[in-house]
Amino acid sequence: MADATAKPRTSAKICGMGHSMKRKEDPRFLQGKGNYIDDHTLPGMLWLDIVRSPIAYGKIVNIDSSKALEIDGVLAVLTGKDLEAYGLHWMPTLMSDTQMVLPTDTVMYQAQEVAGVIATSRYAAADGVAAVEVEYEAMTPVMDPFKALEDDAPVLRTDKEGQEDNRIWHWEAGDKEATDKIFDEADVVVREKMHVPRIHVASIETCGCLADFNPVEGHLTVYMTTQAPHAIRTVLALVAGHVGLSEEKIRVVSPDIGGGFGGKVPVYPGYVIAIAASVVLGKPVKWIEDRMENLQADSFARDYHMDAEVAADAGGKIKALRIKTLADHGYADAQAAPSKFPAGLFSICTGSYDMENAYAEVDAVYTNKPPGGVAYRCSFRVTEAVHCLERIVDTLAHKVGKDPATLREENFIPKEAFPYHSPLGWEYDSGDYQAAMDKAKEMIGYDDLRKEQAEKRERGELMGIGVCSFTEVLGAGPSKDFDILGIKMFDSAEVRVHPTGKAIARFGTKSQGQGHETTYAQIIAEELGLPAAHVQVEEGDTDTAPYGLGTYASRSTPTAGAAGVMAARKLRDKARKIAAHLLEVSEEDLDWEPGTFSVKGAPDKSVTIQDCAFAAYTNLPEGMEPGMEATNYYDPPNLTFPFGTYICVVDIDRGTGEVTVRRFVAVDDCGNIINPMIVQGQIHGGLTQGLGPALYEEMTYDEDGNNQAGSFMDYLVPTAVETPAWETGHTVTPSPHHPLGAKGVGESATVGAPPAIANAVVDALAHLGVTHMEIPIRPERGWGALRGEGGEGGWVVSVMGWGGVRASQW
Amino acid sequence: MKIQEKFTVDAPADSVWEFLIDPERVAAALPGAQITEKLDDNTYKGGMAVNVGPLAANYTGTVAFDLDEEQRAASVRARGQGKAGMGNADMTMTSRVVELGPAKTEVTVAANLSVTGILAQLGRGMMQHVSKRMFKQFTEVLARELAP
Repeated sequence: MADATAKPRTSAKICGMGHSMKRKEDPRFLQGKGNYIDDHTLPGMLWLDIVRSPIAYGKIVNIDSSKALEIDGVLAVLTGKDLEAYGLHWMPTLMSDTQMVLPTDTVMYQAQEVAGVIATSRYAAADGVAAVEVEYEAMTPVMDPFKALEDDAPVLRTDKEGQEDNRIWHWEAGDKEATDKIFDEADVVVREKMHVPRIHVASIETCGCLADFNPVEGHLTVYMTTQAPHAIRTVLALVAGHVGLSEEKIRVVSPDIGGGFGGKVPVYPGYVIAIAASVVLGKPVKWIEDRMENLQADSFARDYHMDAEVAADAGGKIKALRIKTLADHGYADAQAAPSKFPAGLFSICTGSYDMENAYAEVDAVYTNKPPGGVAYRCSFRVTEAVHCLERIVDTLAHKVGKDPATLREENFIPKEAFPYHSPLGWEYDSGDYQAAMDKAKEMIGYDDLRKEQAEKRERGELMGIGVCSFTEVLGAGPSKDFDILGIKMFDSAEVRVHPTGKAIARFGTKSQGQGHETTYAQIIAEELGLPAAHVQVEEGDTDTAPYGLGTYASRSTPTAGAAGVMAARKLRDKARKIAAHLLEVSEEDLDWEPGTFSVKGAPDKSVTIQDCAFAAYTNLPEGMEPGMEATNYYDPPNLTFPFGTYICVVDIDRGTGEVTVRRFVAVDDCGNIINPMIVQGQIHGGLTQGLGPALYEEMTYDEDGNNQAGSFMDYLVPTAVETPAWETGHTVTPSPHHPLGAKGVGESATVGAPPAIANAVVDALAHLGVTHMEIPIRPERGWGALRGEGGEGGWVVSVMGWGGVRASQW
Repeated sequence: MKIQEKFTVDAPADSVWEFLIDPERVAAALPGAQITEKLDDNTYKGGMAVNVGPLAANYTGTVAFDLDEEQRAASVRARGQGKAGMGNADMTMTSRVVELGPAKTEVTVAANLSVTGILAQLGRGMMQHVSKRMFKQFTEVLARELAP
């Protein structure tokens, strides 16, 4: 971090909050000793490989497995008809929609699972897949979500009773009438249509599982790439109860995960086929997606078409916001948002700005794309909301002739206004937006950059400065509003201190690279005074970990982290009683310094937390329950609202249109920081995953429904080559309701980076009349056609064949 | 994908036309093509194997001809089902034979090819190139076969 962190309360030996402890998980990851799904093997294990649809929409005329079954090693070919016999050919999604496991008659998207080939080796299974002959009768797919709503569009989900069009749901928030009235009377109204396109999480590890059904015991173990093992086990018990799977006999184990980013929350057909195959065959069955399957069939995010308007007074004071959105969910609503929030937390779209009213609506539609909408490093549609708001605020600044930073400052919710009630119903816990803005401007040298930009414009050079002051909403969530399939979104921790003063702490969440083994250990260290090095953290095994809803939406620290604090505090209270017993004083006479109880006024008379732990097993006060163990299920009273200001400087090549991010300053405020190094790492990763969608990443389809970015040849994720040197800073505004004052940080940067970059590009071209650029801003999208034709008004922007740029002068 | 080709053959228009409307001879001249069964006068069953970069596509399907003898124009509709999950290919092609001289004939071909599946995903950058190569090979064979 660029600035000094507050002095930690604990010593370096204890290594509680504020210490940049090296990650406990890194030795195994850096030495290639991680234990991922594909590292698991079991005796007699079989392999599943999947026959996938080459067409986007059509009838299955025939599936001929005979040639596949002749291949040495191929044991079975499972089709939808086979699963139908068990009632497993359809499954519910987490959004109470339905989705095929394997089709019996119709395929709905390219790369859809059509049949499963089970074989004795991965190679035989792949050969079997190539030998299965499927005859299709292709139909014309619906790829455009706007056309999907037209009267003559074919109804795609004919399987759903009462479904008469391709609309999935309509969601709205806010007071439409009052908002419309403000718009009618406003001095200034600006409007932009924008698309946050479909992208892919592209985690290093693809999805996969190893299902092991023991027919004698009736016990199923599934090793699985899942961010939410407990929820998955409950779902399995609910949907497969009729074939004899009972929750106490299901064990879901989520081992090391090579990146989840929301893509490993939903249940994909491959998992279910592997489990069904194991149950049918009584053998362990492994399924591992290859890269192209992963990029084409699952883990898709975004795809929101937004029509945004802001009403303001002549000076640029925002009065109201209005957003109309079309959400392309693909063939099923298989996102993983909380039940009451079909459009996720999109209603955070009023962001960091105080306004009188707002109204947002989303219509979700079916198309012949794979199911999408996973919350990719984003607390359920926050990325879409923030991009929309932060872009349109720039449009407003341009319209009223104000510097975009100044316009933001004049509209910020003042720090005295917290807790702040947003027009769309959120209670922001805390914030000091001006502080983050001041720090970002200072770090990047904002005023000097504006001078430089003015000079460069004189010379015809293209340079832009983009600002984004986002507010995130994290930590789902309070049980009164938040559940998934009815299960409340609390999370949990269980802490046991052993007689020698070492501890094990288990959590209901599941790290996918976030560093939970370190962060959680530091949380326990902070509260109990045990060295973090002595706290073993475990997650992901439903047989041993306490029940929790898993890790996504930056919820781990706000929920399970808080549960860890509460459990540790229970143990500290018990230790205090033991200390009083050992020191023969009353509890009130004890002082607590992390790790040590001492007698008030006699600091040399003391016992350590380790002494207390030993006594809990060996020398208890009379009547006390033995042992040193506590559990907490934490139901957060509110969400947390981290924020930040990002400022980006871009240079644009006049000849090629190539955008270079010269500098990028990210000032984040995630409340109190547990491990500054991990927080910085999260921000670096998040910024890079924000750079990708801003400049490179987009999952496109041709009109026949062919995926046009189904390999890393066509889907560019930024590497070290494309990534600029990030400059990070922070301010600290603690959360008033989290027991450590922490807010969570995993996703802020993914959310905040794209509009900062897009704003910088538009800013570089604003003097040419450009008001908006669609992301990703790739040179080949026609940007190369930007050319200078000197004239009275300076440049003429000519962007051929691309609707992504709107220019007023031609 | 649209394919436009034009080539000249040093042979009389009649013999070029006779060649082009004989599916067996066309298949023999086109590397990877094969006619397996005659369904009726204008419809045949057959197969087509083609390599596009690293992808080997193998289609089986039907070819239907619609001939205009007077104009020496043929319209062909081919529908193929790919093996090993390669997806479908669908082509409509119109070709015309124009006499330029007693032993000089021009053939123009306009085709619209649509493919699905992996070939459409990964092969689209190469398909034009592959199509050009196939036409070149075909015209070479045609010229050799019809050489006086």
